[in-house]
Amino acid sequence: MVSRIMSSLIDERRVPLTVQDLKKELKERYKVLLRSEYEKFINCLFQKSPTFIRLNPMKTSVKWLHEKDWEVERVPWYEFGYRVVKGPENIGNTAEHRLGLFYVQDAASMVPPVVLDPKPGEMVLDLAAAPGSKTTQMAEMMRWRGVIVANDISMRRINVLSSNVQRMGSINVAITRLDGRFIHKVFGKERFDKVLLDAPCSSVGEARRNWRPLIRWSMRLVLRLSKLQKELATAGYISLRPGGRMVYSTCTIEPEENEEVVQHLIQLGAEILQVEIPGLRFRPGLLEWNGRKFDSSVSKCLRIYPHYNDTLGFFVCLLEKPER
Amino acid sequence: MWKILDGEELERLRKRLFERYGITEIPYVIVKSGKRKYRATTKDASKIRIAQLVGIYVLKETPFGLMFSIEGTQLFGPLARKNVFEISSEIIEKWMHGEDLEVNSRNKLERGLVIVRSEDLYLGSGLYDGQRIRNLLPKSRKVVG
Repeated sequence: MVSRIMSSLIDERRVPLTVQDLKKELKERYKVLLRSEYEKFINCLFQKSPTFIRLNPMKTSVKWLHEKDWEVERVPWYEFGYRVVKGPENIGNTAEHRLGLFYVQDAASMVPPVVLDPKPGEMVLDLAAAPGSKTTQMAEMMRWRGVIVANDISMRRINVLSSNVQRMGSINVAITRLDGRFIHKVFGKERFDKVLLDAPCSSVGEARRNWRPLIRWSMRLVLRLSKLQKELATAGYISLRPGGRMVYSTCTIEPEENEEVVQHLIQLGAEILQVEIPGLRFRPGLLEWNGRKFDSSVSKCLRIYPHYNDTLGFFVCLLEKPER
Repeated sequence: MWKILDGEELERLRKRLFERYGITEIPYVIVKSGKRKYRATTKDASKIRIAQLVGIYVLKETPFGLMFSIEGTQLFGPLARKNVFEISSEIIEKWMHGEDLEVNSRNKLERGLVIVRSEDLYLGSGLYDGQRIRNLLPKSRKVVG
């Protein structure tokens, strides 16, 4: 019971944590990785992130927001994304949230679907879909036509995914519970027009809303996740049709979980594409880390640091499988 | 598991929706999930036979007839021609807190399940007993406190 209470306090950032509490290994590593930006990055992690919402165009319009006593600012890179400057304290416990008029989702988390740009009628694979933020965003981008196969391996996470799909009215979603590393063995190779792999990761970019990633961080965890991410990325790439596009994203800044996975996809034949997102500040992907050099096209990836746009941290890469 | 309704099953469902709500068309693929629930989805999604779930839950068989979920009222409500109860926007909060609704005796509602809405916002189902509408929102969708 005590550990459950402690766990929830950590998740909600209600226990005090300071820079001094961070693991020495993490701090030293991030000083090398971030160089002159280290201080800004770390300081930002200790500031709670703003609240962002994504309006559900199936159920409401921006007119509703203007009728409320809320103060909002539009997210430049997604037409239905808003930053809540002034609004209810517990935004999840409002009639509008319960009715599915909006989804609470960080603005940086809206970027991967924007980059993938799924179209109505397409067949899309969301390989690690829970809790469903990006699944439901893609469903609305597809105007609820075509299909998104939303996969996850954990039953607990699938329950969360299905209740979000329900609340947001995403009728074009099919939920599967498969080991994503072998999904091509179930669906067959080259079946999907588009693939989103928002991979399970060390989630350091999420620390602004949850302390847990900072507490559980270790190099061992990063390396274990990197291996899993490469396996999932391989399955996603095999599932993609020639000419199809895939987004690989994480909410961490670890090169082993980002550029190294992208390099792995390049070795499988992927071509990395340049991305332009109006209003979004980011840093290009690294070309070298820990003595390992990456392909020059890896610089087309987006490193979205939390202090750049006052969001969570993200890494996003758009790639294409060349036509034969 | 789930199965797609065949032509006859779909027609039977359409007739029941017409009798209760005046709905004449079902513009979605409907699948039956378990013994009592119906889900709405797209043709493409319904082809994913390995899926645990497709689309969203819209309808349920109850002892009082076919009851729409919140999303069911949002998808089918605009097609309904009767047994739709209109509330003012000031009442939405009370309804979402789980309160029942008082009904004016001059209404045209038939006893049984009804759709509740406020202008173009559809708010789920209630049970009209001749005097008031009992709130049938699931606990997880009610506003707490």
